[in-house]
This record gives sequence, C-alpha cells and structure tokens, in this order.
Amino acid sequence: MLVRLKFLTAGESHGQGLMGILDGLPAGLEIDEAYIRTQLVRRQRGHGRGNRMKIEKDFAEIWSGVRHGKTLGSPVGLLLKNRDWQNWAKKMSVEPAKEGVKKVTLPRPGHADLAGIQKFGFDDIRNVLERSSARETAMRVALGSICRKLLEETGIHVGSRVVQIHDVVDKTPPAVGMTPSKINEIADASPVRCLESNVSDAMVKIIDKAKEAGDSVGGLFEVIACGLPYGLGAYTQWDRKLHARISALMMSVNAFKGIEIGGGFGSSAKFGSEVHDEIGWNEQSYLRYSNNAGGIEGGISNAQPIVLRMAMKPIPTLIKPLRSIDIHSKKPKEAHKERTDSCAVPAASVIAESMLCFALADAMLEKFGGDSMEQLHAHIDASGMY
Amino acid sequence: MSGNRENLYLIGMMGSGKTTIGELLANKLEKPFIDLDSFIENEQDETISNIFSRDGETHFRNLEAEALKLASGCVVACGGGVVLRRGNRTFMRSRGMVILLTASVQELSRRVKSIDSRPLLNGPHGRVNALEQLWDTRQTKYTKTAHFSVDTEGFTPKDISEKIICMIGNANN
Repeated sequence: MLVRLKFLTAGESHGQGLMGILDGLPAGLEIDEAYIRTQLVRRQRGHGRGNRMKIEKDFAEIWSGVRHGKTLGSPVGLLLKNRDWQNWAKKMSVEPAKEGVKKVTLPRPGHADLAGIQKFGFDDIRNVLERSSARETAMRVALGSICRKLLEETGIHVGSRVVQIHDVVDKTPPAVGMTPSKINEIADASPVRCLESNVSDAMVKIIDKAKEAGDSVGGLFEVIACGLPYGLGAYTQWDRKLHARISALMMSVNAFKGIEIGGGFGSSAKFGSEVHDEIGWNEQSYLRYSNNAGGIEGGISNAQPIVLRMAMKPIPTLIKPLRSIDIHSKKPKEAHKERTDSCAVPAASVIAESMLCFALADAMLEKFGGDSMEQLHAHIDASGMY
Repeated sequence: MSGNRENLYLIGMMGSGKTTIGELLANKLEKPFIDLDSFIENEQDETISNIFSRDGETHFRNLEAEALKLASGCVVACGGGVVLRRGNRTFMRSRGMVILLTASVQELSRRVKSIDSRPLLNGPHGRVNALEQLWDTRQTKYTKTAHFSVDTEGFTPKDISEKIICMIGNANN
C-alpha cells in the first residue's frame, strides 16, 4: 500500500542482526547514523522493559544509498547487528547443527508459535518465534526514521503519547500549542511516555504490580502529525485512501489490536451534529472548528492534524506461564519462557510513529514527486495547499 | 524600494499585531513600512477577498511571494499565511530578521472579532476553538521561520516595539 517507497526487513531476533532496505527516496535528503540512533534509543525506553534492552544498544549502520551525508536516490540499506549474537551462534547457526540443538516444543498462547508451526510444518517453534518476534520492529524504526527526516524537511512533524496503561487513563488532552515535537519532548522524559506526571506515576505502579504477579499489561496511545497539506491520499480508489494506508502500516506491528482515527469508536455512539467539523474562513484560509475527523476526510488529508489512537494487547509472554500442549508429546505443560517485558506500550508508541512516517512520506512523494529534495520542495511550493 | 538591504519581517497569526507593531518599529528605526496585504491590494487594485474569489488562493500566494521579494531595508508586516511556502520561509531568513508575534488564542479571538470563536465541539485532541486548530497546523512553520518570538499579551505596542529593538540590537552585537 506504499506507492513511491518500498521497504523490506530481514533478520531473526537472535540471528546475526537485522537488515533493512528503503527504496524510492529522493536524492539530497540529509541523513546520518546519529539521527537514526536517536529514534532507536526512543524505542528502547519505557518502564517495564526487560533486560534485553540493557544488552542491545541499538546502532544501525548505513551501508548504502548515502554519500557525504545525503541520499543518492538509490536504495538505502541499513544493518543493525545483534550484540547478543555470540550467545546464540550455535542455536542460530546458518550451517546444519553438528550436535543436537534443543528444540522449543511449547507454543505460547498469543504468539505466532502454534499457527506458525502448523503453517510451515516445523517441529521446532524456534523456527517461528525468531522472526515473529517484535525485535524486527527495531529495523522498522530505523528505516522509518529516514522517512521522519524527509517529513521534517517538508514541515510535517510526528509525535505520540501514552494515554492508557491497563485501566489507568490520562484524560487530559495536550495543551493548545503543543507541537508533536513538544509532545515527544515531554513524553520522552516520562518513564511511560505520559504527559501528566501524576498519571505517569500511577501507570508505573500498575506495571510494577503486573511484573510482581508475573503478568503483563497493554494500553492505548495517541499519535499526532501536524503540518500536512490538503490532498494526501485519494478518495478515488479503495487502496489509495490515506487512512487505509496508514492503518495497514500501523496495524502490522506486533500486538496492535485496534486503530481509531479521530473520534473513532466513540463517534459511533454520538449524533452527527455532535461530530461535524464545521468550516470557517479567516480572510486567507479555511478554519475547522473541531477535528473529530482526525485530519482525514474522504480518505484524504484536510490540512488538520492527524490524530489517531491504537490499542496494544498485553504482551503474551508471561514469566508466570499459561497452559499449553507440547507439540511432540501432545501432553499439557506450561508455555515456554523467553526473556520478556511486562509492558511495552511506551516503546510501541514510538514504533507506531515510525510506521506513520512511512505512510506520510510515501503520500507526500506520491502527490508532489520529484527525484531530489530540491525538486520536491519546488513542487510543494508550486501546488501545495495548506 | 527594490534593492538588497536587510529587512525586518513580522510574522504571526491574525490579530497578533503585525501591522500595529510594524508601523511603530518602522517609525523608531526610521525605515519604510510595508504591510504586505495592503501592498498587494493597492498593486492589484482589488481586495484580497476578491483576489481569492476571482483568481484563487494559489494566485494570491504567488502574488504574495513576488511582493515579498520587493522589500529592501524595510519593516514588513506579513500576511498570516506567508510561512506556508518554504520559498518564503527561506527567503525571509536569508534577507533579514524574522520576528514572530504571539498571543494566546483567547486573546487573538478577543482582538479579531471576525472569527467565530464560540467554543464548540471537542475534537479528540480537545480543541475547542478554530484558532487553536489553526495554530496547531501552522505553529511549527511559524517558529522555525522566526529568529525570535515575542509574546504580545499584556504588553503595550510601545513596550513590544522597544523589546524588539533591544533584541535586534543584541543580535547584531
């Protein structure tokens, strides 16, 4: 559902590393490893993360597509080496194993484990869980950060904040004049990426409570993008609608179970007169009196901030395991324990931002085109409506 | 008026005081004052409203970009949408100093009666006012273009113009 951009990732959780390629970028975009690193660091934060985040200090190397600090217009290739690799070299070796390697035979409820072995006919769940792991999202954040840079250069900024963990809710909307960058600045300083400090504290408590009980928690977060022009996406065909493209990209992230745009599910219980975003004029531009549409009307951007929320289920791996069946013996046992987090909602909001960056960068390139940043800027100035 | 001398550009939302402050500054600094919207109306012999309805917004923005290039050694009060084009943003920053005038949306609503500022429905983002929405969409473009930001709320135009002159003085030293 990307039109101008293409990206692929490869790599298992405990393999040598993650690889990623992003193709379709214009030439002349300034990008460096430090900028990518900043986003990777944001993804690794959050109260409730397990010990892996202490081992992996993610650093993506740019292997292609960039010269002297700017993109060339050719595919950008990134490599994210796993620092933990030496501990896994035997279990994950590419060559056939010389001695027997212990197989994982207990599928974890909520994971790809069971459906995965049935899909491929595997007799070792490790063959599934390595790639189905959320570790892969690190490469999505790395590649997505290049799209974020392109968006920033064209005046679009993306931010997010956590609004709910378990049943602890932050009901306060961001203050007027809080840009996505400012939202991120404040949220990144919170251990749970929540804007309100007293709610942050309550969220930390519920995460600790879950961890003590060997359980996990999920939650809700909000993603906002400002600075869009009119007309990204299209109403002319189902697969060109902006919210469909955004949803496809964002819902593809592990453990995300729902997305709502603007007023979302809440508007289904309201009268139409309560959710219309009325239109005004201020001598030089249109005004909107509300934004229940969340920045998208008819499948195209309407120059208002994009506001959407996503639901993340509690991470399925539990320190206190659930009932499962051994795939060899078919006997009941407790599910396999992997190193895990008790809450990954704050990190999830950062991953979601990255996926939105792919969708919006792609839509900007689709509408305004150009093979270089210079050309893109010229086209935006010539026809961009704000 | 044409030439290559540095300008002082005032940007901000409707009602932020660009014209009022601009005139005061021009006086104190002994420079010519241009209100860009008025300049365009004079040049086109047509109100901006009519330019919009007759020729469309893109045409107006093109006229605005052209008019911007003409100022030299002036204090320029720009229209609210001047920052929407990247070309304008980079031009102003390269041709002088850009000052952003700010005020709360409540204050802006008070100053500009023509905008319907009745509190209406809460969007998911909690916005209750059209100006809040507009500020959300434009804010980054305003703040990234400006060298300095000046809060106009609770200060007299005289105070504000003196503050700006101080800022310029410090910047040049």
